[in-house]
Amino acid sequence: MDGSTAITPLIAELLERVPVFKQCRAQDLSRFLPHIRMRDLAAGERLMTLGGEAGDTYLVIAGTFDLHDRSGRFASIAEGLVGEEAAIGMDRYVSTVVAATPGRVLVMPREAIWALAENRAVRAQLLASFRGRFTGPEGDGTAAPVAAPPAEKPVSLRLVVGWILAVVVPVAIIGLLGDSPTLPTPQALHLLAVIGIIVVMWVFSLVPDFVPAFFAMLAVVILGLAPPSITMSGFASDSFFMALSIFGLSAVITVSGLSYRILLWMLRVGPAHKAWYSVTLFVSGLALTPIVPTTNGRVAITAPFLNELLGAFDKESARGEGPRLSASLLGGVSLMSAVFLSSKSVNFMIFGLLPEQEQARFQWLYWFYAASVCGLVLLILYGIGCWLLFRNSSKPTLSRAMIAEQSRILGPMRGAEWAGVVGLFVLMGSFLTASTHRIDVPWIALGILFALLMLGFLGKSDFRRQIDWNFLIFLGSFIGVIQAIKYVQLDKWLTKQLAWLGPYMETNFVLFILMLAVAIFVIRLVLPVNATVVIFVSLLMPTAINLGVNPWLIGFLVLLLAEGFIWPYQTSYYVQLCSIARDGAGAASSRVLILNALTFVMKIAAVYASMPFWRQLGIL
Amino acid sequence: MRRSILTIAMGVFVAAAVGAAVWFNLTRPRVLILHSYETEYVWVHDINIALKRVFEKHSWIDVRYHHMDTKKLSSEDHLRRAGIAARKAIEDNRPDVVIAFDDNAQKLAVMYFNDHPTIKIVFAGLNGSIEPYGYHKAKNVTGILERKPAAAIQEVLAILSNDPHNRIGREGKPVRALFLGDKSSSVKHDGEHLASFKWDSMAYLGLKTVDTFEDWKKAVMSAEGQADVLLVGGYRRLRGANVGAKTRRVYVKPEEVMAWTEANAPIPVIGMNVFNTEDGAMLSVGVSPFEQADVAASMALRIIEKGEKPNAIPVQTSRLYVISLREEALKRRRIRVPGVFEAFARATDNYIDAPSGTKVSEK
Repeated sequence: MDGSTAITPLIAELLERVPVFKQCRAQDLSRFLPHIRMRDLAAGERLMTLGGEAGDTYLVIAGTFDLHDRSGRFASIAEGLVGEEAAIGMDRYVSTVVAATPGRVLVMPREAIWALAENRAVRAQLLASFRGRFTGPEGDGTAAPVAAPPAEKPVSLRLVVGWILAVVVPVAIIGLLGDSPTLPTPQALHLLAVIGIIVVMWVFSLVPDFVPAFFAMLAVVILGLAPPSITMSGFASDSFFMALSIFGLSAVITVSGLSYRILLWMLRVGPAHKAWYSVTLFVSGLALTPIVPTTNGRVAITAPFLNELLGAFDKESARGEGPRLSASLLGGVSLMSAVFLSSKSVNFMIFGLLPEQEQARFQWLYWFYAASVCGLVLLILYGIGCWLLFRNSSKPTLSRAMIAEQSRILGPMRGAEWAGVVGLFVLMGSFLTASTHRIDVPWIALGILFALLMLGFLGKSDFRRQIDWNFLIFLGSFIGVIQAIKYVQLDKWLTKQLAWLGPYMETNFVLFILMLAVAIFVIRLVLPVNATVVIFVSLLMPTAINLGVNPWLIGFLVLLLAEGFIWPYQTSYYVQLCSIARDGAGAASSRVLILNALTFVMKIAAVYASMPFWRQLGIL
Repeated sequence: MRRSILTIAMGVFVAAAVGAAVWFNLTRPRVLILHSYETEYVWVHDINIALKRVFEKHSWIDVRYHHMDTKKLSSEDHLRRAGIAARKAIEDNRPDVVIAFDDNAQKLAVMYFNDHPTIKIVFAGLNGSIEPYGYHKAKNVTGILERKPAAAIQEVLAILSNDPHNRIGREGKPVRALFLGDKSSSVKHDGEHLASFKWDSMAYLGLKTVDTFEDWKKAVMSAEGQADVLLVGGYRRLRGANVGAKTRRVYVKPEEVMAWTEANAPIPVIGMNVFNTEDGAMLSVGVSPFEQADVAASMALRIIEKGEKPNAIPVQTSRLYVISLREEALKRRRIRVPGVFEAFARATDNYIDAPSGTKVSEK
């Protein structure tokens, strides 16, 4: 029998006992195994030398080893890793290790363990092991054993209930409606059961947002409810490519630092006054709204400025101004989300659900135009609300020298920033001249993305990381499922079930808006924004189309109202802001919460104020 | 090689590609098909099939569609909204030719573009005259009129009445037909057209118009004895007693009118539009949607490809027709139709089978 064959099971068994390797995927560990060898050392034999080339990492499996570093610190090691330098990217060892007794180690070559360290959890454990080499848990000079993996989280009752309902709900739907003569086709019943499952998945957050839509698409194809050409049509839709292209352009603008430069520029040009700081944060969020299609992304860009502003203020001023600045930032990044087609991923979903001719009508510019009065009224009301709620006597100022220095470090505009500016101008220009150049805007946007990729302003890695592929799968799948709903005529059945809404939609739109607002407000207490939007538009947009009510208007109302929140838990970006913002920011202070609640009322008022304008446009 | 040269070369490539795309699209002719009704409506469906047949041979022409959905939804508010949206679609698309089908598309949208310097208009499915839309004076308009197929109706009625099984008309005497309709202008135009036709094998008794559904019911019930068949076409403008109380709809639903009429009329009811059968009539003889589409598309191609001026292309009148049948109603009235009628209706997707398992009580 070959010696290596004999020791391989032993090595595998040893690795499986070590917490670092428990973080690895089985396939990675399997690939890693052939690279490892065992080495026996006599007492006094040197394992590695300070300053020597860090070629291997070792796992001590027998004996005791003495470890000395440059500053004379000493540790005695009887278990765990040594020579982690090779695994964490250092060229040289920073300590010498000598066997104090006869010992045995596993030798893990640098290249092999690097491949394992691509796993973030493994890398973190290796770093923790390296850092704890001398300190140990009690700092007694004994090397720290490798950190134990985090304790397994207890299983949430919500998840258990959710998965049970994911089985029960479709069975209940088939049981209750199986004999219903009103359902147009047997396929409609099966699709309804599938929809039941995905609604449960969304409501109970059983899986990431895009997975239920993906599941529904798969179920439709496998059960033969609609042909793949219908079910997959979302992936060939204008909406899909428009979203992909905007994500790409947004990635260039964000990664190149253009958005940060604009923010600095605004602080530099304005007066050194607290009102201007507030306006700067608000306008920055607002300016980013149409070009960064995720609210979390906009918060990530602007929130550090909130901290910098508050850090530069004196303590009293920071306490007084913190809530106002937080509210300005929050309003800036989120208030106009429904007003711009490109401000949120979910807006593209609404666009994708519009009939073809309505898509042609509600391209980016006309979407903005149709929503502009509502947006303007909302801006004015929000401004008044901020002014009334956050009045204080503080007079903070910011060092202009610091802002100038920050700008100087950025240097002149770089190629990628110019590319972002040009891309943005070309896109805006194409919106404005759509009837002249006669090319559908989604294809122009795709052309811009192509140019950014071709000229290298958007690299392979950013293309993979910065574009929200999860959402694109969600978008393509969801549009396909909606097409399948139409294919099996489930939309007509749903319209009949919601027929009671018809008179309100048709003749009493004022009351309909109020009913919709109340329903969304209640649902939003428990459901996140996207799930709320998906459920409401799936039910209401097909109904609106069949009743002759403009589906964009319904989609816009759902987007606008679903974006409402009072407490941080209701939106991920509010939680994100609270976590990024420093303690004194008061992002969740009572005054900000009051403003959040008032904003929901302001939205309803803005919608009512827009009604004459919508009538004039023929939307209402 | 220096990086700047590479950048310039790539920039030139992008500029050339963009320029070519813009130039190609600027010079590519565009046709906008504007329908008064919705896609699922059989008339529109057949028109679109015929249009696709023509335009797929001319794939360089960019063809767009816009549906106003004014049949299913006919409230004043919807008509206003549909008009604004259709005009915006024309302005946004800036087509070389708009082919507009049926009256609402003309009235609510296309007539606003009379004498437009770049947009040419081809109308189709127009029941009445072109004067109300100003097309007789406009230099950028041509099209095809839709006229009730009087000759075809006469032929069909002759065939049906010659079959003794059908018991239509009085023996040895010509079949008497009364045209019943609402007070809309299209019904008035249809009445004028039928009155001007030279009927030989049957007697046309003229047009009777009513304003309300109640009057319609009375007229239907009193037709027995006066006429042997009832010709119907327009009944979408009949006011009802309770209509409009809860909704903005003012008129009785056409399906309701036709369902009642077919169930209660003492004499056979013949529709003069294909969609009358969809509403509930047993048999309709209507203008061919395929002919309307073929002729309109050919006119558009002459304008685009040959550069002919629209006003130099004579306005045509419909010549061909289609038959639509509702099996359940035919059985109830014990009307036997020639097999070729059924084959024709089925071939054009205008045959409505009786629901399986339905027991039909004969009249």
